[in-house]
Amino acid sequence: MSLTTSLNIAKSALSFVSAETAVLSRNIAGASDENYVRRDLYPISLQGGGVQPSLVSRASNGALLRQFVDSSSISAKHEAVVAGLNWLHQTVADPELGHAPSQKLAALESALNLYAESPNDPSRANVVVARANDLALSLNGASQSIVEARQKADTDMAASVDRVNQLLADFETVNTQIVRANETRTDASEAYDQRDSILKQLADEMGIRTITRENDDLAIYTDSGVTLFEKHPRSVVFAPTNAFSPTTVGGAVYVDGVAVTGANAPLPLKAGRLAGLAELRDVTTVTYQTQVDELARGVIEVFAETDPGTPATLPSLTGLFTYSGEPNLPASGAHYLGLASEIRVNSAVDPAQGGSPNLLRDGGINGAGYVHNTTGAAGYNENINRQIGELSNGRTFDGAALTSTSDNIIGFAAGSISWLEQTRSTAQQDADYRATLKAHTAVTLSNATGVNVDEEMANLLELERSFEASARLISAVDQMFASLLQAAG
Amino acid sequence: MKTSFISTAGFAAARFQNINTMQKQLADLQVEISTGRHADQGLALGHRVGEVVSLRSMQSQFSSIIDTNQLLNSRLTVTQSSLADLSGTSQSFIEAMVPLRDNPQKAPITAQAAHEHLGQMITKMNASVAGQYVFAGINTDQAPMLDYDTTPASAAKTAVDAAFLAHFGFSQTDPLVSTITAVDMEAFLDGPFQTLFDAGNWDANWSNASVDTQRQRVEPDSYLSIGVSGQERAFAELASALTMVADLGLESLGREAYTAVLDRAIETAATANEKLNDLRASVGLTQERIAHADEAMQVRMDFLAIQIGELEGVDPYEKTTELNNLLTSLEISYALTGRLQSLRLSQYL
Repeated sequence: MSLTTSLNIAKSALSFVSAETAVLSRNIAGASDENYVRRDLYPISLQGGGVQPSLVSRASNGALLRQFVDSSSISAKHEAVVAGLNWLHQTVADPELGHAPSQKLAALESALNLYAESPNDPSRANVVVARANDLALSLNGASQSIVEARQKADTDMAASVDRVNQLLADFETVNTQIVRANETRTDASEAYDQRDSILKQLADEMGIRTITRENDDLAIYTDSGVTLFEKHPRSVVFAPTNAFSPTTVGGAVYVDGVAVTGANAPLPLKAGRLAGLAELRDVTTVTYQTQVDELARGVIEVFAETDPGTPATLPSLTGLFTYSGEPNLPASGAHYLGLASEIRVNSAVDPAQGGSPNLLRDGGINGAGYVHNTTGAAGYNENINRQIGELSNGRTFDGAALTSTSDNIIGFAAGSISWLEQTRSTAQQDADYRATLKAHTAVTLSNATGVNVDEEMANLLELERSFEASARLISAVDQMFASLLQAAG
Repeated sequence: MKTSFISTAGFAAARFQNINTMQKQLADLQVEISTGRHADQGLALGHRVGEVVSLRSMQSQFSSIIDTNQLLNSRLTVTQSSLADLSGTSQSFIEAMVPLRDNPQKAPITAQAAHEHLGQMITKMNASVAGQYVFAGINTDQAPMLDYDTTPASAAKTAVDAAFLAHFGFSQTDPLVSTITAVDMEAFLDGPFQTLFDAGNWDANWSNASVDTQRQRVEPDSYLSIGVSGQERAFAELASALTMVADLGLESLGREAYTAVLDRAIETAATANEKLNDLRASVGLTQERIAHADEAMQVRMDFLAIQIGELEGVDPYEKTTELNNLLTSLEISYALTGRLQSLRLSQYL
């Protein structure tokens, strides 16, 4: 082996050390970036001695990344659902505040008790009408909150879809870079980092599955199996609705022409924000709307005017509470979509609208045939007692409300609150659990692929030493050459 | 390859997550300790919120019925005392009549006394509470008993005069009144005069009260008929006893006829008094029934409050301990973060 060979080997060692130092400093720079994956260089022995740096290798961990992406999709879904349910929770608030429609109903009952005690006192009748107004407004407000929740979910879905399209477009660029780099055997670490980061963001919006192909080309499918990206992005389409009403049915999200949200979607998304928002908009809020509507229908029925005659020949018609279909009652036992937004106090009994509250005592809102107090006695309270009694009478509710189908109005209202709070509490627990799981997976992923600054520093010391040794070697060879030349000289 | 590698970012993140969770818990605990209730009832109770709401509804229902029961009770108290007064009126009338029975020469005083008693009776019959006449049945806005001596003559007075004239052929002020025999007078009292106070005529000439009394809710599921209607026979009978002495021309009647009228009046007033006492007993029973209802509801209210407290409330002792533990952990976390910050290899190189 010649001195020149030794010199060449020492030189190659020096250049390897500087290449490794460059990778090391990049690692330290990326230490706090959660998307950064640690790089390493390995020496490759050359024929005839010497080393050369390998291609940069990334400490990536596909399995952990997939786990993180999955858990973050599921977590995002639950987060979206919880946010929506918290919004609906304002219709109920803390039971102590007496804000829920069911509690307004209890307040109305108290007012009726007082009115029944002194039916001749017009101020008590006015209080009944005022409490009835509170109840109607509270139902209107609940319905409005539900519509707002749906509107908000719809807007968020549109934003989410835009983001998915943007991410897919970015993904195409990065993916192409990676494929090219692999074809030409060049370093594509930065592109890989970017691609992982895009995947993570995409997973927040919708559940995804990936398949790796030749040259690390990645194809993305939704978790239900619809193609999102294969060489090129597929279009994700969603038509947002501008103005929601209780009767509006929101549009579905289409991936590559296949519906992935909505009741009739052949391949519905299972996770991701979009799935959560769709569930909120199309299922949860719709059920709650049904409950509030059924509550409104129950309230209208309870306070309906009846024919005082026995047997009754006239049909029961709307009384204290009414709606757009007055004077007929809404069909019994069946959901009338949007009733909660329509319910209001009958103008015939509302003094603010020129009505007479005494009609609650006497009957006759719907004409002479419905007058109970035929003698006009000021102390007549049978009609008020009848309405109080109706509050505790069992009635039939639509099964779509997912609460008991046969209960009195007060029990039904409480059941609706139970349903909402149970759904919210379960969703919150799920979300907390999923968030913890996601955080845990994030730490595991980071530990597997991230940078430990201390270790890099230790490596640096090693490199310094290695550099020093190689430099020594060069200087030793130099001296040997010098002595050789001197001896020859 | 290292077996237990830990990344710098992962190391920091794990600590921050813990601190975040603890801070969130801290905020909730502060609310719970200061209010003694769950920070978020919905999350803490889930489906049991419906139960809390139902319990609260029941609470408000009970308290509103207890309130109205109080009002009903005060109305019944007035009814009770008015009935006592009316009974007093009939007693004092009887006491006044017994000595006068054998003194036809005191007839003007007798008639005058009866007039006064009739006036008293009418005043008491028209007792009211908070704008509601207590003896009016459901016609609470109309005075249950009409005045007798009015100008123009009341329907009652007109009817009495007409009946007298029809039976005897002359009016009460006619001198011929002295010719009425005891048998004649008794026939009149048993016949036309009694008819004047039957249910139909009492309603038409004397009373605005309705036969129906209010059915009031004294417990969530039970209603009671409250109050006494001015249509009760006791009142008509008392009025008839007072009227026969007051307005059948007593001043001019012969001795036998005079005694016959007074005997009948005393007898009728006594029957009326008995019936009044029956009414008082029944009002008393109603009051007792309301008191029982109140007691029962109060017991249930107390129980409800406990149940609500159990559902909504938190144990302050437990929460305070939890808070202390949490604060300790947080302090340790902060201290640890500071210490770990300086634990870097770069600082020693």
